[in-house]
This record gives sequence, structure tokens and C-alpha cells, in this order.
Amino acid sequence: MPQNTVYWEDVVEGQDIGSYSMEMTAVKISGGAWATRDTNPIHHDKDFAQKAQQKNVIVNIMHSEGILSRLATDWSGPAGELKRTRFNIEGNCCAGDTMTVSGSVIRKWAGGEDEGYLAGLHLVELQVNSVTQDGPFCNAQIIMALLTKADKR
Amino acid sequence: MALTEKDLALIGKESEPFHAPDDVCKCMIRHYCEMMEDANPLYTDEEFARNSKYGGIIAPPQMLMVWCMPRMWPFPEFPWLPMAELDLPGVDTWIATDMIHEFYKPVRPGDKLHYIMKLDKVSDLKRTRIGEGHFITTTQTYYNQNGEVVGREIRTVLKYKPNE
Repeated sequence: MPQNTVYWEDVVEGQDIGSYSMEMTAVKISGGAWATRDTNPIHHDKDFAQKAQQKNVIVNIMHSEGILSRLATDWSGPAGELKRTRFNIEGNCCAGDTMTVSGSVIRKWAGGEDEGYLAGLHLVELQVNSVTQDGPFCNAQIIMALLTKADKR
Repeated sequence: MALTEKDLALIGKESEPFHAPDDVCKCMIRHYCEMMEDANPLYTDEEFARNSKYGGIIAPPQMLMVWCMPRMWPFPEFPWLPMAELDLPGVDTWIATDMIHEFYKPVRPGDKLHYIMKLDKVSDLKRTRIGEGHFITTTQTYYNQNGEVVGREIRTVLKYKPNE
């Protein structure tokens, strides 16, 4: 269980937040689609996927978003709170591919009065990228609130 | 090409509510975490979560959409949705181009969620790398059983005619 805590004061813009790789088997891809209640056959049925010009079943959007968001909270520990994610698809990830997720801190700031629900929070924005062996798959910009040392109990 | 009067009149309209088929539950949270290989103890470790500031298990915030996905059987009747009424003649293929989620309040086992979708913007016909089409922006606002807004999803899709 990741129970580390990253404190806002210790974060530096540009720092690396780690990475992991996952073997995306057909079972994993179909399981991820079921776990997110996505019944589109392109995530479950190889024949269907091939007729749609894919090599094999492809990873669905909600599964990808979950895998990318996980890097943020794996890095911060459970005290880090996901506040906003912006997600884009650039390519595909098919059964048999290895997905590698990595990221870095692109911004660190204190939420201003004009930032609505982010006001007063200690924030970082992360750039998280996912690639397969064949190139870019998807990416996200993730805003998180972190604990400060003054919050420490 | 400009939009038809009928399509223009749909901009700014809101859908009827989409209700989650089930309450938020630990077992769907676990199935989700298994597939993400997400070991955040707030999602699955009762004791850890009880001793946290939340006082109990919370759902991964990024599961927001999952709770309101329609059942596969019996297939539900969909609520009225402005997006589904758009004519946009000549374009018939969809692709999601941009998705933003904002998370305001924790979602917990037992919560009953619903969302309302608003049609924010429809662009004029644009030429893109993959074909000509319209960019459509919608906001889905998610509520819990107490009427609190727990999060929002702002999504842009391209409805287009693929290049020959």
C-alpha cells in the first residue's frame, strides 16, 4: 500500500514523479472496460476491432484515465487529492502492447481567490504521458491538492 | 457551413437527469482498482480509510462517469438529451477530442448519483486532419442524493465525415 506523503513545500517544478508499465493483455483490456461499464465491442471482441482497422481489442477511455490518474496518487500518497484532470487521446493501445506511464510536475502554486473550488489549496499540476512500444497513446494534465507541513498532524 | 436554426436552438439546453443504475458500492470500486492496479488505501482499506479525514472508504474520483453508465440489459430508455437531437447534416462519425473532469466532493459507498448534461457549444463546420465536422462541447454535472454537486465532466467531441 502506498502510504508515503509528498508535502507541497518539497515539490519542485520539473521534477519527475515516477513511472510504471503494464502488460495490456486482452483480459486486462476487456476487464478494464467491464470495470468501467463500457460495453462497446471494440474493447471486447477481436473480430469486431479488426473490422474497425485495429490490430486487436483497444483500451477504453475510462480505463486509460484511471491508469493515468493512478500515477498522480501513487506519487503523492493518499493525502494528495485529485481536483481536475484533462485527458487527450493521441493513439491506440491494443491487446499485446506494453503501456508505460510517466510524469512530471509542470506547475506549483497556491490556489487564488479567483480559482473557485481551488481557492486556498496548495496545488500542483502534473503532466502524465502514456506510451506503448509503438508511440504515444494518451496524456493528461492533472491538478492535485497536496498537504503542507502545517497541515501535518 | 453554418448551423441550422433547429440546431442553434438546442445550444444551452439541459438533458433530463441520468440516474446511476446502482448505489456507489465497494465491490465496483474494487473491480475498478484491480484493473488500474491502484493500491490507494482510501479506496479499499477499511481501517486506513476510517482513520483518514474522510472517516471511511471513498470511491476513486475518476470513477465519476462509471457510476452512471447505462445497464446493458434490460436496455434503459434514455432521458431526453439535447445532443441527440442535433441534425448536423452530412456528418455521422464521432471521436472524443478532449475530456476535463473536476472533482468537488468525495463520493462514498451508498451514494446515489445522477447527472444532467448541458449542450454548451456547437462549432460551424470545420476542416480537420481526419475530415470535416463540428466540435460539440457538453458539460455533465454530477449530483449526489443530497443535491450536492460532486463533480463535472466537460467533454468535446468531433462529429465528422471521415476523409475519403
